[in-house]
Amino acid sequence: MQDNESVWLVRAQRGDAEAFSWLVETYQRPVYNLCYRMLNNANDAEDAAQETFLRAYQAINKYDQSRPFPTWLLSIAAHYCIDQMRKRRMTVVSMEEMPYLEISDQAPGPESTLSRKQEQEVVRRLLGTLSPTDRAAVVMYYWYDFSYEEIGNALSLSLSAVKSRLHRARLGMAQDWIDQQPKAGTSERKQHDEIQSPAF
Amino acid sequence: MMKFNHQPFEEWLLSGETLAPEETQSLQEHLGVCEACRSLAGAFQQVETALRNAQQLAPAPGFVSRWQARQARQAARQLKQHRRQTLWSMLFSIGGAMAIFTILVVVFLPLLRSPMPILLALTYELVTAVTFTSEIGGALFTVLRTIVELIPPVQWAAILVAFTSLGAVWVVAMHRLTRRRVLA
Repeated sequence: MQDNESVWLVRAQRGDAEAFSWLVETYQRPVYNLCYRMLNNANDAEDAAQETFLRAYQAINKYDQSRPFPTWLLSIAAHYCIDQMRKRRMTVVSMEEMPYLEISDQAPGPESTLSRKQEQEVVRRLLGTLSPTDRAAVVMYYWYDFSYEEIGNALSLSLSAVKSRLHRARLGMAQDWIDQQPKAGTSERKQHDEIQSPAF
Repeated sequence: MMKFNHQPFEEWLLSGETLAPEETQSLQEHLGVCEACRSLAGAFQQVETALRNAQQLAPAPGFVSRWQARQARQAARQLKQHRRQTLWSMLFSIGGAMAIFTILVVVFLPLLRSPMPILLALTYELVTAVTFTSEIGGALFTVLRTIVELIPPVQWAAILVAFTSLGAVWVVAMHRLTRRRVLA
């Protein structure tokens, strides 16, 4: 796969449109998924994914083959989505309003008891609590198994900044999860925070 | 009521990294007595499960075809824009050339009607320049000949060696400064 990809990349860098189409075919899903997780809307995700490949096509000669191609490509997608999110305030679209989505046919995890729709709603809500860059870091970490270093390279962040952002994002999502639980849990947590806060 | 300092435990809980055995034990002990951290740990576990179980979404079928069409549209738009820019550049160049030509014609037309004074002035300047150059050359030659006669051959050899050494040092220094640095 890697050797094959290198061949296609070399051909694409020589201006072979067919070779680049092969790359689009291969990476459409990860790019689209990242855009969707970032923008939370199928139409915007489609547009962002298309724009990502256009930008990659125009900059393919600047791509350094010593770097992994997915990291480079997803970096373009993440930066584009972050810009889009900063440009306009995101309007939350409910799942019912979303256009058709094809979901991969992988079987859900054995521990998962939620339906796909509920799962998507939970993930949407969790990611919705994060800032654009934190969201990109979380998506890269959990969906693409990027290392901290790869996330740093993709988002132009230092290693400590990546760790700090992921920590903040995890804390935010966990607290949001707690807040969504029945009132009893929430009040216990709040009460505890009040008691514990002077100790920090 | 007991007060806990659970800052390191919270950090360990959310680090996503493997902890050392003593850290794990310390964390377990803290979780046994700290309801807040236990709650946070449970919530974080649920969050991670939700994120890891969420499937990768795919675009609607025909993504590549749509991309190819979009790429073709953009290429056509860029070509059109490039042609328009080229056309404007040509128009500006032609316009500028015509403007300069018009100015030159207006300024130099009277001179072209009677070229004799210009030719005489040019000839005078040329003769003056040749004469000046010749006199300077003669003066320099005289100075050099005097210097050569004043300095003995041994000193000439020493000067030659000194200049050759300086030249060699300069070449080596330039080579070291300009060669590509290889990072370790």
